[in-house]
Amino acid sequence: MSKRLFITLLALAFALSGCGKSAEKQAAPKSKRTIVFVFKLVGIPYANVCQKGAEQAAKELGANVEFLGPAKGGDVAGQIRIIENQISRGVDAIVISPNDPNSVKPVIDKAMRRGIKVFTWDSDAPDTKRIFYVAAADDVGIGTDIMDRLAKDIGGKGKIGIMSGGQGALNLNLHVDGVMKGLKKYPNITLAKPIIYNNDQPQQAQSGVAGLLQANPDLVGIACVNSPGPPGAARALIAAGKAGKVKIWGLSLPSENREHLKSGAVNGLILWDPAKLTFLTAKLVNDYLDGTKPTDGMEVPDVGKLKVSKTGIIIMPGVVITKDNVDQFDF
Amino acid sequence: MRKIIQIKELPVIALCAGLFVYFTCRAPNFIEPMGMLDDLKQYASYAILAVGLTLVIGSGGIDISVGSVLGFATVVLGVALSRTESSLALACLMAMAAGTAFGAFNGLAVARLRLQPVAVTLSTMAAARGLGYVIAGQGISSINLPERSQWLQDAAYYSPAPVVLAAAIAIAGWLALSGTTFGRHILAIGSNEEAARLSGINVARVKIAVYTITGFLAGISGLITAGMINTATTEAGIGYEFEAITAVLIGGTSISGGEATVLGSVLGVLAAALLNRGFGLMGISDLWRMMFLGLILIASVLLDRLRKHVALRSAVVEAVT
Repeated sequence: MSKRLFITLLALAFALSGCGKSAEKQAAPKSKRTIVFVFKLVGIPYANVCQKGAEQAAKELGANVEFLGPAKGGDVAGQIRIIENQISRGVDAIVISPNDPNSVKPVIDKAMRRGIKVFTWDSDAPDTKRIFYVAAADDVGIGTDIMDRLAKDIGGKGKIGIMSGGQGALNLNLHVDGVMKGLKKYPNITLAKPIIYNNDQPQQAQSGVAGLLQANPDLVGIACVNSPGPPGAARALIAAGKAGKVKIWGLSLPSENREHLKSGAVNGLILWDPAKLTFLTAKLVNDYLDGTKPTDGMEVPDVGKLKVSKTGIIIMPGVVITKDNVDQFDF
Repeated sequence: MRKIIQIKELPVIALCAGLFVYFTCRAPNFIEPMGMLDDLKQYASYAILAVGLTLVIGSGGIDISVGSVLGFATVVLGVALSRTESSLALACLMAMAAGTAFGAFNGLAVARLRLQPVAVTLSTMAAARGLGYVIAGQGISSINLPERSQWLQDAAYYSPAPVVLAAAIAIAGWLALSGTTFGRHILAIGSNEEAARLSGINVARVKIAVYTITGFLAGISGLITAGMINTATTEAGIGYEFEAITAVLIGGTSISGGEATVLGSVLGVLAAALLNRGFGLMGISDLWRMMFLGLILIASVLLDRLRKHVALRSAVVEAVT
């Protein structure tokens, strides 16, 4: 026993003595700036596309830009866990798309106190010390836009459903508010309650719509405000033999909907390019760290004209995607 | 040699040491104490759940509802604070009571109705999560914690209290399991329920107790989680059962019951925390962390099987010679 213990300790000592060198090596290229994005979760298509933007930014800005997030959807504590890691790591900037705006408040305070600059993108945490928020289009406006286009396709009357992602995500709740706001303009359109929450899971999107169709045989349209929504809804419609009869407008990726757009199961998408959004955010953050703040009306090549509000909200212009232009988008 | 193999905690000690050495070399700032403490705090909830699960798994059962029960307790806390006049202390008591009630339900269903633990706790897992959504209200997932709960947030987020509490609970669990009749009864039931019954152990009472304790501990973890994430959310604790059960099994508690170690479970949580910190500091994706945990889990289960096989063989050899 004691011999074994001795050998173990010896091995440990060797391992630790070899340690000094590589730790020094690690510390050397510290001069390169590190910007870390912490998304709501990783592994879903939307997150993967965002990550591409971060990778592109890393190349163009010559900075170390990383993209992290919890492996599970709706994992509020998991996201905090990852942000804590990054604070301890001492990165230069952390950019968050919070699962829950309240939950990140203390951790943002802590990071800012330790001199790490914190920003939000994709979804905001308004009552925190975050420096600015880069939004993909106006969160409420995009919901209203979806509603307007859906209303046009269903002829301004009938019963519609709404599908969102996680119940706590601020951006999605604002999109839903936008849909509701738009709905008020159409007295002949009624809402099938309750709102479906798919927790960003494709299966839940499909099963949610399947249930909605059963409960509401007279449904004529669905407004979807998160990316798994439209393809999930389309699969449910195809299974129920109602593809094309029930209209779908929503927020999603062209790549997830290409077939459905062409077959008519999904009518259209309102969207921004998440890679571009993430790239733009990385660029604005990098500029900020260099001492240049974003200004209202500034023109960014490849992105367009930015709106910058006094409350630190930066809005990137969005695009409308239908079967006619879907092939122009490679994400 | 045979004796060393029989030390249940040996693999997890080796794992922790290995992770510690590797990450000290590879991950920047790994041994920085403040950051280490912050990261350990993230795992206090898991450690508390793991203590309860050690008792349950030791008794030959399983409880996969802990994450949902934790979430439900969090919602009870939030609703009590934001929609009633109840004091922070009362709201905390209500949350713990809610967890305990679910635990007691699990225990009663397993012990009195003789239902399969996995089936019972699978139902509770869904029911607790669902009930959380119901009492939070349609479309509300995140309940703001009011001013008077500041104490809880300060204690959980800004002080090392979660780690201290988890350590205290672990010590209590360790004493209960290895130093009391109750603990011996748990393991006796886990290794052979029928024999335990015949030897006069009140099997039902012991089982009800372990599930109830686990529910109570899930309630406490719910309070810590709410304090740490600064909000009461219906989504709190999603998937926690996986990591807590993994920690218990990595720690050397046998999945088939009869052998359990609270120390091992705590070390299992420590290994998960080290892995999280190391990967986090190296900027490695959470998906890899989950996959790695899964691999460690399967390796532990295999090792447990191997250890039992060796023990059985040497016992046979001894009996023959």
